[in-house]
Amino acid sequence: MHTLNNPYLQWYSGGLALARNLLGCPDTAQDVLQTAITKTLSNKRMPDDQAAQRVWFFKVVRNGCFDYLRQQQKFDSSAVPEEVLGAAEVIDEVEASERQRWVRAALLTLTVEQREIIVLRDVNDLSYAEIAQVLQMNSGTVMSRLHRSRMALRAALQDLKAENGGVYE
Amino acid sequence: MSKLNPCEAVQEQLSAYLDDELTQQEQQRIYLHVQQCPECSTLLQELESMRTDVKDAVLSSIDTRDLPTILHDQPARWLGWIGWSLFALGVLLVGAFFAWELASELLIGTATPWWFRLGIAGLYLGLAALFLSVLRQRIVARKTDKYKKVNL
Repeated sequence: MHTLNNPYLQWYSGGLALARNLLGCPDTAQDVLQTAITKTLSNKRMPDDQAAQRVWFFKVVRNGCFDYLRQQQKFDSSAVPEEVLGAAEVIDEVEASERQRWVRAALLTLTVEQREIIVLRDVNDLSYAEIAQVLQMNSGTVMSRLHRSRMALRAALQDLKAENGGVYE
Repeated sequence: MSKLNPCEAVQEQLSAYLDDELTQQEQQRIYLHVQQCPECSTLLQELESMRTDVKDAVLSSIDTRDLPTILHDQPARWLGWIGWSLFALGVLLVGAFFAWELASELLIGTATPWWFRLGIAGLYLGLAALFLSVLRQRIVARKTDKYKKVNL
């Protein structure tokens, strides 16, 4: 299949994961990703090496998400997720395993900043330096924010566990 | 700081340790501490399993529904292939029979005047030539279409 030859399509699902976690709505996430890929493909002056292209791509996806949110007048870094997310996640419940559902539910309780950094690192395997470029901060901040986000996720998982009688592990 | 509460300082860096993002020296320091501190080593394990869980959870929700699986459905592909080959075979057989009938009719049948037979032959041959010319154009366009492999 020829999609593998194209780096942007190889990052498709990772980019979609990021967009979804930023936007909450799967359909909008796909729209944003589509636009991002089109932009990346039609850009004449792309960086040459793949690592830089990947950073560029995730930047485009992220900016696309924020543009969309701003357009929707919903950009209020703390309040975005829940209202949109409810509907989207109901479908997910069906095929996800128990454990994955826990993780996803816990992710939803985090702030957008925490979620995006976790998705960039854990789902897309970006290095700290690359995350720093995407988020435009220095890598020391990446290190501490990522750690705090993971601790928050862990705490959220433990809360869920306490609430629901310890099904998680 | 690290003298007073080593665990706290180590835990700050556990994430980075897990991601292999520390300097060799720091990596070593955390490693040594984790070896002899059960609390920190439990936390490390938890973080590690959480990391893989996150990846699975987030990616699985995407792969299963959003990638165009319909396009890669093998039975449908085979059926499509068989269908097209049968169709092509049918077209060839029927076309050959028709051409044979027409040719023999035009060459042998002397009931109609020669100019009329020539006209009919010209009509069919002309149509065939037009069809071939369009087909050729399409094929050339298809081969040089630079958006053909862009699968968004």
